[in-house]
Amino acid sequence: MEKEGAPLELRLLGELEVLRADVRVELPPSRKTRALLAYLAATGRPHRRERLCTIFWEIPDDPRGSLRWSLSRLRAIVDDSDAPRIIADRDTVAFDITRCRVDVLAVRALDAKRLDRISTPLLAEAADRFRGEFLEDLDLPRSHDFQSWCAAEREDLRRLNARILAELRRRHDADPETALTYARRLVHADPFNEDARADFLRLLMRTGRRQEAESQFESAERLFRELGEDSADRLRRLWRSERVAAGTRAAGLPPGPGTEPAPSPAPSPLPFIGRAEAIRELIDVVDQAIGTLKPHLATVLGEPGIGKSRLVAELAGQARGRGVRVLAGRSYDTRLGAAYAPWIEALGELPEVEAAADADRGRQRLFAAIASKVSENGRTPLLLIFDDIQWMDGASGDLLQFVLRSLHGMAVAVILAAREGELPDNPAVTAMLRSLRRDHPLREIRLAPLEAKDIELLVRTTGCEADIPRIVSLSGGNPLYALELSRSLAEQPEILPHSLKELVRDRLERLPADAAEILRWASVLGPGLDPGLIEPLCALGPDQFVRALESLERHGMLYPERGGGYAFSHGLVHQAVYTGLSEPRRRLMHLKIARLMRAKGTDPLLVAHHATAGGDTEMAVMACIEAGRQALRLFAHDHALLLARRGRHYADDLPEPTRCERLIDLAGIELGASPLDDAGDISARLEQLAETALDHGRAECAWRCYKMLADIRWAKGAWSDARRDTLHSELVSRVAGDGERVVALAEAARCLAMLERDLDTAGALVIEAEQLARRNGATSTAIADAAGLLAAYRGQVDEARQQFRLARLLARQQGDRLSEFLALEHLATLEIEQENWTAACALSAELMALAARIRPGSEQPFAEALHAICCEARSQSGDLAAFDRAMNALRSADSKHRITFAAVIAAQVLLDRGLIAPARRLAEEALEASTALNRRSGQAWALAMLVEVAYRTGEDKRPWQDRLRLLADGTLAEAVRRRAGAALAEPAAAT
Amino acid sequence: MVPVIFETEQAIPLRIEDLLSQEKEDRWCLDLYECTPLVHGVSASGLRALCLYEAPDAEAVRRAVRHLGAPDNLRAWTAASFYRDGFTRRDWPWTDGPLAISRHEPPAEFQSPDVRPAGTEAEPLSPGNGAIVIADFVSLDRTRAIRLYAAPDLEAVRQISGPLSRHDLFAAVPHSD
Repeated sequence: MEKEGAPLELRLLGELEVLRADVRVELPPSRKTRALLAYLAATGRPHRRERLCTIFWEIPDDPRGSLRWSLSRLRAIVDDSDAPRIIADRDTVAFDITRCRVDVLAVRALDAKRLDRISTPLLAEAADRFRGEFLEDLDLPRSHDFQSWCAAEREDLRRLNARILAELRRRHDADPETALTYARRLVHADPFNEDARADFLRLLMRTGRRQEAESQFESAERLFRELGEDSADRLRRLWRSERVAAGTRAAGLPPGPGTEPAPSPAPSPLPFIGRAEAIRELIDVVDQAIGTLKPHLATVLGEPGIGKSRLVAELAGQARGRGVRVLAGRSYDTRLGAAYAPWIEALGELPEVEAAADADRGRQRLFAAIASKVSENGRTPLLLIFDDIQWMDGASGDLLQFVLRSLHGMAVAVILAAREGELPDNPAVTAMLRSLRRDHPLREIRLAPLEAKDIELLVRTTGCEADIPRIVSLSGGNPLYALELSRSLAEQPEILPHSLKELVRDRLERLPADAAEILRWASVLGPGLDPGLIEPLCALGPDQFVRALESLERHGMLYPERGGGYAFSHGLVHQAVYTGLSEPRRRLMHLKIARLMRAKGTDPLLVAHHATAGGDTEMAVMACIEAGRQALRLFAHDHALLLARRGRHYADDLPEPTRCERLIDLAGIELGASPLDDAGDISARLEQLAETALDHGRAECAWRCYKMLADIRWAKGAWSDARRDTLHSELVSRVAGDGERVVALAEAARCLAMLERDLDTAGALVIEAEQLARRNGATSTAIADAAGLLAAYRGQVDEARQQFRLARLLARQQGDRLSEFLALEHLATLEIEQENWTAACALSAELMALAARIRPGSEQPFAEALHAICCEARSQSGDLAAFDRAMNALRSADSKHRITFAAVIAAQVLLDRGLIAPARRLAEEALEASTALNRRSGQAWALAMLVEVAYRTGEDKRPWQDRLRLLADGTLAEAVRRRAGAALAEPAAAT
Repeated sequence: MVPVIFETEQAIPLRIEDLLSQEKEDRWCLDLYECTPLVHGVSASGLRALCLYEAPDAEAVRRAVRHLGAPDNLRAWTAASFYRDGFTRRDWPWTDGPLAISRHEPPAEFQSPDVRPAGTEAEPLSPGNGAIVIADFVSLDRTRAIRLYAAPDLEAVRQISGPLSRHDLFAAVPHSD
């Protein structure tokens, strides 16, 4: 433990730092762990473990385990052995702030309403605490609860900082140089404050900094144009008056000496320096793959800027030179781990595949098509390189494993580069690596800092003439840092930068205004810089734009890529520029980009990213929906789930009924991405959303919820959505009142359930009828009857029994004898299927009594047939005359469904008694009748009987089994499925 | 599919237009049960309705048709069909003009259960008054039957069938959507 017992200080304003006795403590590389520490310290109160898991570990793998792991890392840094600071029990976790200094708590302790009463030294000390934005660069794009909290804190603290700086500026009015210091910081903290900007320009002029004032005005004008022409116009008027007051002319002033930093020499591809051992190992991996014709893998691990990308680029070059085919791609943080992004970069595009019946098959097809594309030059050795896999999405990882399993007899080497410390923040990638280690030879290559002689050589190759020993010393062996230092010190030898970020920002400040503007827009747009998108954003003329890009190349900020685009020289440079923008400015820029992309019809995932970052809730939600559907089409389910949850978070801010509609859309995406048996939470939400939709008169939205609920509860039916919707529309359009609608929906549900057709539609209709009935106080026996039939179909006997009893009671109360008969019939047949003969006898006797009081039809003979066979099952008297008479009458009445049931039950009873011939006749009759009706369960049951008959008689039962097998592949009532299973499992009979 | 005759009795006289309009209410359920309506008729008294369907069985029609009064008054029975004079099922609706139905005991030649429909073997019955017998539909138990005509009016039917009660003579139309 670092200097245990020494005073502990936490700095959250700027990059997160922990200090003991004023010495920085090395923090765990995991961002989530660092974010957890910051969250606990900033909030200063206990939190429930479940809440912390929800905030930081959104996609559950083992969230409580991850929390425990993070806490153990934090205890090693902040706890003293006699005084722990992480206070945790089984339920809650807290950070004890009483014995440590936390900067954000100190500034919040100021009385923000009475800043004018606080002493200047105290205010200045508070202002100096703001080293940067709150938790600068500590974003967790996948944890939107944390991001929301962080964004709110940032805004709050930014405002406080602005107020403190404004107060300090005011107090130093008589000291322009000091006032200018605070004014400069103020416009950075509050970039859209017109008065602060004007004051800053004024102070620059007063202190003789005219060139800087010109440059700052140009930047400000561009910025204020984003706010609107009025704002820009006011600024222009003020600027004109200031220039007149200062006695200068605006145009034609020659640039003064030292205003543009001398650019570095035009960058040529840097030579490969050092890393001899590492490149030898990687070449060996490729050679092993070629020698064994099996996949060989290696991971290249190291801190940011240590040279991972340069190393794998060198490997790619050498491999190509030896005739190896190279496919390379990388993952990006700012794109929220877009599905298949590294594969798209490696392959150019994903192959198109035909739609499949279900998601699993669709995914298989897509993966197989990609594997085929990867292996198309099967004899040529292949090198796959994936960089920055700490940001790789789950779908890309699954695809990599699939591709490696599919490549047989092919020489494949796979190199995966990652920032090792950030890997634990991506459970999908750590799981992938575990799996790859198990299945393939995998080496780990850790890049240590370069030796001093290598750093020196690297710096000399840039033509830098600055203090090389100093660069070597300061860089600590980090090549990127060394290169940035060499550029900065060449321009300003006297600076002593604190960090790589400061280096980059310092250089940015000294770039020409146009170039700096492009760089800022590029940082917000994302890692791949498309000039076609940047140009309209920057509002520069074509010539200006081209000159600015060239300038950025010369300064080593950007480099051209194949395909006409540009890229930042390093991800850290990109990050430094991006995090150097204030939050409000970033938000506005993201918003502008989102609108531009939406107008251009760009990838909705990118629109979603920029819209959410820009705070346009509705655009963000719509983009999340579109991107989520796109992810489903590509079978990237984890990604679809992430987008759906993000969309839900933003949809909550929308007004009704739009909120309800969007949440239903998002629930549809979640349902498509989740396994159905994991859909309990979605069910509860859908029920609530249906109620809300009905409250706002959006019946069609409620119907969508019912359909999804039915899909969750029952297997998908054969009907298309269109036909299902037509039936529903017809039902609800024919009736005026809700009471009638309940009856219409319930009757339709019962029809479908009795027909065993499209049971999920039946389920949806039952749910809707139930909800309407509850709201209107209406009742319908058909609701309970239909619910009972669906429960019986699923094998939920007790629930079915309960529903049928309720249906019978309601029918009796309503005087509906036919419905009462149906409910009683369903109860009796349920007991017969369960072979509860005593109960079945009693119920069938009641059926006969009831049938005598209703219309002539098939009810009377059916009741008589059931009663006869139940009595025979109990008594085994052998007198089947009553049954025969009843069946004849039933045949005359021509009710094939009832014929099927009576015949198949009778066949079962007779078979059990060894009466094979009559059993066979009845089973064949049942099969014929159920086939005429196309009733699968009836056919399956009759076929099961015929298999049994064949088995008993020694006949060939395979023809019956073959027919039965075809039916058993589809959906069947549970009671029949068991019988069919038994019939198919019987040993083969002698033929 | 089999022919199914559906009959009902009404307390209040019914017109054929009312019958057709009420039948539309049940269309969704008829579709679910795969019942295809062919002919609709109302008795001369207006107190009976009779419809000819094609359905998987009689039970399908019993369950699907709900609009025509209380369940106790509904009756559906499967029939064997005997087409005459070159008519077949495929020729539906058989004529551009009006139809008629008479309800009576099964004709003698069809009373034996051994007689099965085997095409249009029956002699044509066209007495020259404009009424043509299209088909006989006989219940499976041979206890009831209806006869379908292409006839300009009910009087032309009476001339063929002999005296019939107003309850047993139906003006009919082919089904139309």
